[in-house]
Amino acid sequence: MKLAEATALVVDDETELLEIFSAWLEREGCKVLTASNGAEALHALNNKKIDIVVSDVRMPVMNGVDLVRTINDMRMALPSIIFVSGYADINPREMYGLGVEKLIEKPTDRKHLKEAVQESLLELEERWITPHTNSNDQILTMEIESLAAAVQNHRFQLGRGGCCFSTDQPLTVDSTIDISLHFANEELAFKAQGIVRWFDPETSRAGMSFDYLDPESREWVIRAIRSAPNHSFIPKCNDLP
Amino acid sequence: MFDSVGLPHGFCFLWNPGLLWLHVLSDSLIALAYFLIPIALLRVTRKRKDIPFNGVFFCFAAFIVACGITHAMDVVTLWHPIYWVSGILKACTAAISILTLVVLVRTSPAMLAMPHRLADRRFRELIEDAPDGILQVDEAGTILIANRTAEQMFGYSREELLNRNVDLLIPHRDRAQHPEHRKQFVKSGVSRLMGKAIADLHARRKDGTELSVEIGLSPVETEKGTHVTAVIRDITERRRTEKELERVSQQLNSVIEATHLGIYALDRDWRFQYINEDAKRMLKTEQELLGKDIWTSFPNIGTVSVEHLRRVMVDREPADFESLYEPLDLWTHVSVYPWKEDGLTVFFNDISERKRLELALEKERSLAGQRTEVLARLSSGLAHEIRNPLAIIVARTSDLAELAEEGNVDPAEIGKTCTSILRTADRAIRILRGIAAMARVGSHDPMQQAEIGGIVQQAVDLVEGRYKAVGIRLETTIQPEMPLLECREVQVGQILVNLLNNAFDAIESDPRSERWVRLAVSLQSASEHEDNIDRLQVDVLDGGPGVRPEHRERLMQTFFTTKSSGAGIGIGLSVSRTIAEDHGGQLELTDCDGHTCFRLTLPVKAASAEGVAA
Repeated sequence: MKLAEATALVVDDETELLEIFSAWLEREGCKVLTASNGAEALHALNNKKIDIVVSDVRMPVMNGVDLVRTINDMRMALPSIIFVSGYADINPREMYGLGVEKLIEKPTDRKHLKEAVQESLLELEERWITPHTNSNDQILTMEIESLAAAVQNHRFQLGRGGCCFSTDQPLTVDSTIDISLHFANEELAFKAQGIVRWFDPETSRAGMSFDYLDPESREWVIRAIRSAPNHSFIPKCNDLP
Repeated sequence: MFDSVGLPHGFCFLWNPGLLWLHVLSDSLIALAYFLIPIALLRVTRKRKDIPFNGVFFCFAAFIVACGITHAMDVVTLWHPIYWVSGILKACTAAISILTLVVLVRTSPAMLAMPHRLADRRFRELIEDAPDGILQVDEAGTILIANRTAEQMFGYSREELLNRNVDLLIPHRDRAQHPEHRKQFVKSGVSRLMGKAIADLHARRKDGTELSVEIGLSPVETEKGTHVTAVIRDITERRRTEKELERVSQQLNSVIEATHLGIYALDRDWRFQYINEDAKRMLKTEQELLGKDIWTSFPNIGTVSVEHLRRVMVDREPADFESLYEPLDLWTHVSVYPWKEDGLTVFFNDISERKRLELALEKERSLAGQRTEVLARLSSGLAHEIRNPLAIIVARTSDLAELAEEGNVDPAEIGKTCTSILRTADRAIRILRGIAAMARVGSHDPMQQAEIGGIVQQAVDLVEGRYKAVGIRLETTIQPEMPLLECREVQVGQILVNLLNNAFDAIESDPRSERWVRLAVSLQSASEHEDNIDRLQVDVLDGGPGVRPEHRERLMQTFFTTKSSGAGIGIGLSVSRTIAEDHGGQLELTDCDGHTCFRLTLPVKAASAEGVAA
């Protein structure tokens, strides 16, 4: 979807920031609705079709996290969600798991926000086309017996914008990764590049967001994502719901 | 000698010369012996004047001499027939013999009445070698009798003792009083033992050295007056042992006393068997405790101590603990040990000072810990509070940069944007200041004139965010024309933030609360106060549920809090109160129109209270 065709909902308790973000998005032709807190945002979500939510986290009455949770619980159609906030408030695994697509740190500028929104409005087919130009910080190759079993055991799961997987190799968060998996049973190859968003040494699980899927993988991955509507942007790969 | 007749008395002697000479020699020797024996006898009597019956001896001597003469005559008459002479001598001898017999018979009874020489000797032996020295002195102090032990004891021979004054045996320094003592004793006529009552009785040896003695005296009545028998025991060794014991005991005592340990011992019935001076001093008791039981003497021993004492009594294992004796506010460190089979010894010392320091240190540490907590929350609070203003500033500035790039130089637009930036920056600065003020200790600041309005505003700035976020209305009223307040601005600000945070928490804690907080500043006129100085009054009321009566008093105390931890930033109530008091003012919990009201009162002119660390 193009920015000019979209309806965005900006949520922030700081009035002036609300003004600024709205102005920025409106410049691109986007339709912008505003809300001062999570409750007002829900109200708006119920009334209009919103394509993307750009929200602060720390807000009175209902904060950003509760907003996303409520959206999940109520099984509403999930728009793309971008959090704009201080990182201290957020647990990435949790957030990506709930379906937040991007975490942008405050302060930010117009360009950065615009690009983030534009990216988030892309259709799946338009995404993950360009491989990393620089060499990847980490490379991971694994041989896995069965995709189905891995999914069952929370050792590999696909989300709307990334995946979580089991790994013994320690990974560095916010750094690039090139991952190659081969699922023997299903005879499927999975090759992707992206950024590690979280890593849990205790459970040996990691989550990454996709920047690139190699042509072979793209088809079945996109199909898999579409067929199993998972709210998560990056699943959590743990036993908890 | 030998006449013409031949052998004298030849007829009698059978004309045998041998027989003649036999008779001559025998009689001569007899005569010699009979002359010598009396001399020997007389010598004895002269030497031992104490042997009675001199008369008998004389008779015997005379009688024997006469016999000797008779025998000598017998020899002479062998040659010369002076038989009339020898006959008369014989008659004399007979007379003396009869006389002697008569004297002997007459003195026999007296002789028989004499004490047996054998028993006499036993007594002598008894006295002579008695284990103690025995003297007998007369009223003048002359020594009449002295036994062998006395000789050895004093180093004198008997001759050197007898007939000398007993003063000889008394050390020079005591001699003066002795005659008087003797007189007294004789007068009283009662036996007594000296040297027990008198601490140190000494006697003096011949070589000048002294010995400690114990003397038993008894009077003896004789024709020559009252004599005194003295039995003298050398107790030098005993005295030495006693002194050593005394010394050791004193040493032990001084060691014990030096420690300032209170020590007492209890028997199985919990009665005091021993208690030292320090124990009595520390427990502030003068009464005699020996034999009394501890429970009745000290009914207010804390349960901790009681338990330990009972346990040691049963388990026979030592115990070590600290305990507070409440009646005297005395902190002690106590060690209890099993004693003998079924008793206890208790050692304790006063650690009140140390305890006070400990508690003060703990308080310090806790306060420091609180401060650390506060500071931690402050920094995260700061990060959060500043972020939005910064986001706005960055956004506006990047917009400006873009405008400039595009060549879009609309002054009005630029002006609006810049105003927004400056306003936001100002807000950030106020927040920063407010938080910096919270972080500071502030107690070392000098007292300065400050405007209460500014202090209130800064405090409000800091808490506004939270209030707005949950929809609590914050109202401030400041009476117009308020005088300047001489104070430490930072500290007063901290109190206000504390009160506003507390009000916030009170409201949030109860869903039924009215969601408002009012801060009112007014002036108390000088006339209401002794020192005639105006007071500034700040009331912080809230619509919350109010402080429960049972909590009211304790609320101000150091560690008591009804709040769950993690609420709000800032210092606590007790520190706030301390700051108020440092300023010569006070912080109290009161009731304003039925609502919880914390009232801060500060003298407008600083009181002289020294600034102590908050």
